[in-house]
Amino acid sequence: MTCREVEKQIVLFSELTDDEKALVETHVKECTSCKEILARTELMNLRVARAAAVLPKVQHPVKLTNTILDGVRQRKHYTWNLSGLFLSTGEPYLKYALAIASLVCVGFFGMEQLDDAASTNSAIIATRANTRTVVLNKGAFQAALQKHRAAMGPLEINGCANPFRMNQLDEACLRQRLGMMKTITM
Amino acid sequence: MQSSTERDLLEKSKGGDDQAFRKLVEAHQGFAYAVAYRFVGEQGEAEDITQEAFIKLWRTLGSYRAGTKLSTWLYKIIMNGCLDYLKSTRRKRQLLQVDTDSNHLIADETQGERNQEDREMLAIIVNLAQQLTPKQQSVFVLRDLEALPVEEVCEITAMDAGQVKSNLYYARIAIREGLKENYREAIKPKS
Repeated sequence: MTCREVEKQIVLFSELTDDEKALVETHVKECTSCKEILARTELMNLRVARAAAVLPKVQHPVKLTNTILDGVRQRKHYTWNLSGLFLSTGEPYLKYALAIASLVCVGFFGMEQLDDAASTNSAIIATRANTRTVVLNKGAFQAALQKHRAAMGPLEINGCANPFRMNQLDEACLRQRLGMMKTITM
Repeated sequence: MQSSTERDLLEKSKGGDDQAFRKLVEAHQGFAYAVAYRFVGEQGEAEDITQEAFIKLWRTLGSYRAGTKLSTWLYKIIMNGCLDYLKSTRRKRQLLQVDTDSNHLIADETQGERNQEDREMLAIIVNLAQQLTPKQQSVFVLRDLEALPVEEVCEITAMDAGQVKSNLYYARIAIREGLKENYREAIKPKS
């Protein structure tokens, strides 16, 4: 065994098997430099052991306990949501079941939403085909809005906005809602 | 080996029993604080990390596996909390002024004047350990300051025995050199 190998063994002396320790001890008896390394390492071990014997102690244990429990109470309050349920449940497989159920729900309602959106769009397109719209540029649109806002309120006008083009107002809708309005000029 | 009382308290805590959780905290907060202090070397920070560790323990009670030692689990949480803290504050690049005068460091009462020396030694060693890599620091604190068996160090740090020994070797070399710098004592070999 070389001195280099022994030096490593000395540093890790506490981790060695009895046979390995015996080999190191035999080498050290005959090697001055390794003996020196062993002495230095033993001194370090002694210092570390003395430091390890010092026990850092909580100065106010009751206060610390209460602080910890207050913290837990606060988190309890804030994490009472779905993820909180996942974490606080005792069944490890329940969270996977809930996750799968969530995905199924998202998928199901997502499809429903797509159906709704498609049917709504079809209805709007059909309505648009049967109505005439007045195309306004931005300035005229704002002027028209301002002109009639005082009399009828903004909601009445906004309700006639074409959902596809914000600068278009439905003429029939405007006539019906505003009554007094005859024409809108560009 | 986990005691039946501890297992019982854990089960009750999982079921939302606050009193059971309080008993767990009271039983383990001292140990948790000591571990945290040996990592960060500051009383206030060690208390904060202890608090966060128990909150995390409470939050993860649901994933607790029966048979795992609570202390091992707590070690893991505290170690990660300490390493995160040390990383976030970039303390590894600074030489820390570790608190050595505090009364919260309790040495062997029968040794009289050696107490202060030992407290200072702990402060110096904690300081030196903070200059190590996180893996080396973890292994050194757990094996040499906490005196845990290698198998438990492996479980806590998620390293195999070879990695633990390798990190421990470099950590001990660095600490030995650091102590030599601090003391510069003439060392005479044993005859």
